[in-house]
This record gives sequence, C-alpha cells and structure tokens, in this order.
Amino acid sequence: MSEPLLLVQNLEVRYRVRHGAWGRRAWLRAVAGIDFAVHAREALGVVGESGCGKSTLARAILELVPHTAGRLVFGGRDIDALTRAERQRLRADLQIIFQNPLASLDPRMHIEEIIAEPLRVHRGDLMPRERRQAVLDLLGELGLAQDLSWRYPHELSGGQCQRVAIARAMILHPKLLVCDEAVSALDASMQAQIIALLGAVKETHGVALLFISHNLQVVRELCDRVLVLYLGRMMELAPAQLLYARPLHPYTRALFEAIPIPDPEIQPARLAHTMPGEPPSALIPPSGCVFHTRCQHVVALCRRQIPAWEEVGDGRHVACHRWREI
Amino acid sequence: MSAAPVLQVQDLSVRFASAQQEVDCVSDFSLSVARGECVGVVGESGAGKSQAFLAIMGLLASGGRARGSARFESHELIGASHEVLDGIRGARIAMIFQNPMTSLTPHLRVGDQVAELFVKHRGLSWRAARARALETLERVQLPEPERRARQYPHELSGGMRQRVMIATALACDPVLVIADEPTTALDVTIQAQILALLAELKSAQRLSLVLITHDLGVVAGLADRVAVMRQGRIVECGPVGTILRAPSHAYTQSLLKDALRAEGPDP
Repeated sequence: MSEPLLLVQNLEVRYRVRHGAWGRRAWLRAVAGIDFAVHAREALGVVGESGCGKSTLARAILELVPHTAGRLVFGGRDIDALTRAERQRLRADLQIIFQNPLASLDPRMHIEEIIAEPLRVHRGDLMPRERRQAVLDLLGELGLAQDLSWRYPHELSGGQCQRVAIARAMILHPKLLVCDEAVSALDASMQAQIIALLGAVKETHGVALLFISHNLQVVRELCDRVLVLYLGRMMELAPAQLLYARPLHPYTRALFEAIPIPDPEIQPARLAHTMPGEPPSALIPPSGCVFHTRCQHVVALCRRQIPAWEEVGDGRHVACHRWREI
Repeated sequence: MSAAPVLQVQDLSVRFASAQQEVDCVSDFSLSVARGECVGVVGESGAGKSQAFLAIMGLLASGGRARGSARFESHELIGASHEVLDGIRGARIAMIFQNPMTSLTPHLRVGDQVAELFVKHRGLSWRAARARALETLERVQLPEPERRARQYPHELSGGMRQRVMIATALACDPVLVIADEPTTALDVTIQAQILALLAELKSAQRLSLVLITHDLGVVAGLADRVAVMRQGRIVECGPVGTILRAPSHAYTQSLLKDALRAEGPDP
C-alpha cells in the first residue's frame, strides 16, 4: 500500500491533574500506545465509551493538545519537526468538526463569514468575490440554500449547523477531516442525512475521514476500518466488514451485545446478559490488560501481563491474550 | 390486564401560548397504563412525548396549558392543585429524567437526596430515612452503596447517577414510574445495565412503567405496548410485537428502519 496520509506511532497524551482530598498532583494517561495509519481517501472509525480517549486522540492529532510521547507523521513529515510556518500550512490540510454544531460556530458571525474565515486565514490571495463564490458553491453542494449565507447560527437547525461546520472544514479542501462525535447530537433521521453527506463529501473531495463516535452503527455506515479503544488503549483494529461480521476482542463483542435490538423476542434475553461494571479510573488503570476487570474470559495472565498488539491476518489487529480460544 | 388502569389519559392536549403565537405540541392524546404494564412512548425529538407526560405531572413550563383528562387512581391530575399533586408526585408517581446530572441537586449528598423522600412523604426521622435510603440504593445495585451515599452527584459516573435517580424514583414504592429517555445520556454498555435493572424492578414489583424514548431497541426489551408519536399525536399504538414486527404506519416503519441500522453482527 502507498505511504499513509497520517501515521500515529506509539502516541501518548498525559494530563497533569489534581485528585483526592489534598489535591495531590498525578498524571492521567488519557491515551497510550496508540499506533495506526490513515490512508488517503480512507474512512477510519474510532469507537469506544466515554472516557476512552477518543476526543483526546482527535485533539492530539490536530495538535490542540500536546502529545507527551510518540510521533505524528502527516504526509510523510514528522509534525514535531516542522517550523511554525509549515505547521500553519499543515492546518489547512487537517480539519475538524465537533459534536455540538451550535457551540462550535461563532454566534456573532453570519454563515458566510464563518465558512469564509479559513479562506481569509489561509488564502490571502483570493479576492472577496472569489471567496464569496467559493462559499456559495460549497453551500449548494452541501444542500444548504444560498440565502442562508446571511443568517446567524441560532437561526439554523442542528442539522443545518452541522452542514455549516462541514462547509467550514471543507472550504480549504483538506486531506484529512476529523469528525469528533459529529452526528451524536442529532436525531436518527438527521444523523442518517449527515452521514450520507459525509460519505458524499469523502467521495467527491477525496478527503480521508477520522470518524470518532461512541455509536458502532453510525461508524458501520461510513467507515472502511474501525479502531476500538478502551481506557485509552487500543483493543482491536479491523476492516469494518470483518469487525461487524466477527469481532475478536471480548470488549468489542460486549459493545455489540449491549446495542438494543428492536425485536421484542430477542431483546429481553439480551438485557439479561449485560456486561457488569463500569470502566475503571484512568488515574489508576488496572494492571495487565486494562479490560480485565470487566472481561468474562479473564485468566491470571490477563491481570499480570499487557497483551501484545497482535497482527492476526486480513488487516486485523487485536490486543487480547485469549482471542484465539474465545 | 383487564383490571382498571393505573393511569387513564383521555384527549389530552397541550398548548403553549406566547404574545406572538400559539403552538399545539400535544393533541388528542389518549393512553392507558395497566398495573404492572410497561408502555413505551416513541418518537423523534419534538414529537411531544415529554410534554404530554410533563402535563400529566403538572410540570409544564410557564405559558403551557393542558386540557383533557388524566385519571390516576381516584385523582384527576389535569388542573389539580399543588397540594394534591405534591402528595402524588414522588410518592405514587415518580419520574426519571434523561440527565441525572441536572436533575440531582449538586450540593446534597446522594444518600440524603433519596432519604429526603422518606422524610417528606413518609414522615420518617432523618436517621431512619438514611437507613431506608441505603436499602434503596442497594436495591438499584449501586456499587459500594455506603460510601457512595455520602458522595455528591459530581463524584459519581453517569451510570451511577442514573441508579441514584432510579433510587429516588423507587424510594416511596410508587405505583407508576415515568422514565423520560432514562438511558439516552449513557454509554451503550451502561445503558444495557440500566435497562436490565428497570426490567428486573418492573417484574419484581409489578411496577407500571411509562418509557419515553426515541429508540425502538430500548422499547423492545421492556415494553408490553408501544405508542408512536409524531407531531403531537399518537399515530399508532399496540402490543410491542405488532408494532415492531408489522408496523402499519409509515412513520413507524421509518423509525424501525433507523433502528435496524443499529443492529450489530449476527449472533
């Protein structure tokens, strides 16, 4: 395969936090040992529950939070080795859309200003007329009426706001679009529309997607490959079709089993077999495999030794001592 | 379930009026809930699901007006006085809301928030009430209940807060619990735990349950009957098996299609 667009190598992000009654300082490792690649035009999904480090990962890739170890290589170049000017240029290629569309749009700017702002920053060579034309073209492509361009964010629906956020991210034709829970705040039918739109944007603009979501079914519709995180560690990475056909990691399986199915003959029985417990604190992560405290297949080895990130064929990776037997 | 229903709602309508305009957010809403029955009320946001039940509980925001009838036991709830409602709410009918962070009081220990109900509705001393609160927290399977009872809401995880919320609802052994999107804010594995808990409580205590949700999967595990709402009206109502297997209304079919996208791998 060709050189990846984004290479994440052994990435770690630690936060300095205070905890306990005396506000003792401690390190919280939000993500650790993250190793994956995103290829051009690919959609990679990142799934996991709250607190698993999904958003930290997104922010670290955009350098919105500094990573404390590991490497980020974008387009063949180590991000840490870039000069300020080069980083500034890189930002045009790396864009993000956030979960809450209303909160991520400036309430005092009208829609055209919001979408044109990246052009003002990165494309000083364009005339105002050209900027305006670029905005209007993109509005049309994303299914927004042109007369919305003079409205303010609060006048728009959640779905329209998210389309504006997509337009703002896409106006510079980035190579990688990071979507951090981009559809989680929307109704099911609106979710379906925005997902279809992101799929279309991916095809027409040839942009790669890093699609972060807690929702496995949303990821299924859009993504070529899926990475499963738990407590800041990678559990499983696989082509989407294979993962959804046969998850290997017990955590991935538990996630699938927890999804409520609209079938009254099956669903009550599924509820009777729910995975107990809650994710442990990231301040005091469990020894060995971080998932061992909730895993139904746990053995002594799991408590003692961190499972290796094993390549298991068909482009699949899994971190579990027992994936072969279970 | 031929006995008299616990809750009988007839032709309920809710209208919000401001100086500029009037909005009907619930119209011709009729529904009954029998003893030990779980009725799922399904629809997208803005369908009027929550407003219908807020009206029944006398909790409409200012400017909202309810008409029609909602009979609970021997009481008419629509238009009832505060005194009557205060005796019923929290004791005979309890409500569980979506976001346990905003519906629990941030500066009170969670154990005391449960105990408060025993003091208010049962006239117990605080000492006795705290003991009963601890039992209730055990009943909802809060881990380490003695330690957790002394903590504040922000110290608990979302799942634990929702367990506390359910404990406050169950404290006075209500006849009817109205759960408004009780698991929407939770992660999928925690959602499954909370739904399993509600299923267990429902069958163990013959609780009547109204489950308001946008997710047909949530309804499938718990509900006996389902009412589908759209634009303030019930468009379809029937046994859960019929509604989920052979929905007759196009809107239900589209909801079901959205929910079926949700399915995981084949078992």
